[in-house]
Amino acid sequence: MTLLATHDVHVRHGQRAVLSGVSFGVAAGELVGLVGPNGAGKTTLIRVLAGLAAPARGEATLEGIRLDKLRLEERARRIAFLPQAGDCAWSLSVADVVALGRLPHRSAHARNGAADLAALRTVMTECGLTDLATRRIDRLSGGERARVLLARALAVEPEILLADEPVAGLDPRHQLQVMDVLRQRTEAGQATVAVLHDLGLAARYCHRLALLRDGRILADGPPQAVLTRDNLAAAFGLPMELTDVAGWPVVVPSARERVSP
Amino acid sequence: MGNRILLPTLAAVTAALCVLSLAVGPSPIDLVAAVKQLILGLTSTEAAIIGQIRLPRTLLAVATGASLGLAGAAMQGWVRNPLAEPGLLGVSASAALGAVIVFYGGWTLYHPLALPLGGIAGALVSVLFLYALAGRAATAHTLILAGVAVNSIAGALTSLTLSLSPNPFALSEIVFWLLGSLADRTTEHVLLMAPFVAVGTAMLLSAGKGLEALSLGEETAFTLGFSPTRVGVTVAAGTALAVGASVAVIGAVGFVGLVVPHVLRPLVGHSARRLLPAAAFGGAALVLAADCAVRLMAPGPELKLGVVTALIGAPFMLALVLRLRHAGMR
Repeated sequence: MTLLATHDVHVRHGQRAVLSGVSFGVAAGELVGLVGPNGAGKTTLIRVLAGLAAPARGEATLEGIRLDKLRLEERARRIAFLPQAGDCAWSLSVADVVALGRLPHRSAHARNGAADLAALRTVMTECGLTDLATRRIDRLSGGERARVLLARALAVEPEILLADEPVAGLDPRHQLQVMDVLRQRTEAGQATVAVLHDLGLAARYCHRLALLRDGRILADGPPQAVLTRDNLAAAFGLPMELTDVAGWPVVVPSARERVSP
Repeated sequence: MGNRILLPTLAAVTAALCVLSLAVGPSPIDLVAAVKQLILGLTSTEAAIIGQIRLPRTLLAVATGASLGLAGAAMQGWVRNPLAEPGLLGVSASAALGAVIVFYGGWTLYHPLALPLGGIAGALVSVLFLYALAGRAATAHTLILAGVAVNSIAGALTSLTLSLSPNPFALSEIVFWLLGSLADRTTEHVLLMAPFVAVGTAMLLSAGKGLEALSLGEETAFTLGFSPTRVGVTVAAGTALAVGASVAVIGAVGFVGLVVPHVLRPLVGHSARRLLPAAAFGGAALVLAADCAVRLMAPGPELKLGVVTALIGAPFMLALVLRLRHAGMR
């Protein structure tokens, strides 16, 4: 059943239409990749789903209820958001940053309770951060920091995780590590939406892909059905091919010259 | 160090400094005997000195120090910048302007509450102005420049008010008051500021969780269930109340909000929430210590408290700037 959805959503930035009539949904236990060229509206769509961008027309709903009708606190407990290139202003320890994910569950001045501590232990292990717990976040490498911020979002124990480019800037090993965690959480029942640029990685991990171009959804379905030659050419303006190397899906541009989309 | 050790330590230091503040002064007093007389309601010179001079002075030092330390910590958490501070950003100067206008207009004659209200109004205008001027995602540069602008405007308007002052005695009175001092304050002053400081500090302390969420940026804070606007309004109003009322009564005392959070931040693991109560105690301790030093130092005319905190704070600020330069200013 669809948990979080947009219905005919339109978003404008000044004169420019960023999303035009986008209807999209994600169900529990589903990992959906948002793919498409730069400026296609992927980040805007995920921000609408997170309640961070208000649509000019249409609506975003959580189990059929309009997002803006729900209390901020309830949304925070159910939907976690991992922003693109997130950072922490202060030199907090890894354990403290991850613990911020428990804020929606804690009352005003309460310390972390048993449920909070259990959730934190699980997520620290899951993201391989146990040994880094006391390190300061500003002393970590990019890959380590990305894992910490992902762990912060997962510590919410959300029903839905929205991740904007969770593997951007990571080396292949860390990319797979992050995607593995997203996949495991999804198999445990979480609904996950991730903006991804690596189409091969998206095809390998996601149950479903939504391909965006110019603020519209060009195709939405299983990776094999979405990443067709025609769809890819239409979206990226470049002839591309979905193939496989040693059984893993890979998308390669097949020619240098531009084709008209 | 966890807050479980740090807070009791800071509270103990503050309490010890309170006792010192009651004990220190030009006339040597048997503190225990005087306090006993004061409690029993006996009239004696000693009891009068403690009850009417040193106790208000001590209470004002605690209230002002806590307000400034707390406001510094909260503002830094709000704009996510270690240089945000009521003095540096012109909030204190604007509160002083508000109070000067009240003095100049003679409104204190109509109602004594006009003074703290003037300070609060000045502080509030400056906080909102800063937020509008430097914007939400202010870099250190824009924020400091906005602070310089606010400081200049408040300074210029204060000078204008002073130059228009027809009475030279009132003029020198205001100038001395502007330097910031706890001398010659009475119980009435304490009662005048106390309710505003109490509400202001309570508001600032209540912002802890929101400030903690804001350390990950405004959007993440929002998705964690905290409206950045609401946190901002709480911090701005809390700062205006606490700092505005303090400045209106004791004048502009700078740098407390800069030095205290900076020293304590590593001790609370850089957490914006844990920093708040620690900064309140730290600020109270620093102002108490500075005020005791003022009274112990010179045999001649007493140094102004604001001068002492500036002498401590300005080199500190310079060191902080040098460090930020090395770290690459954001």
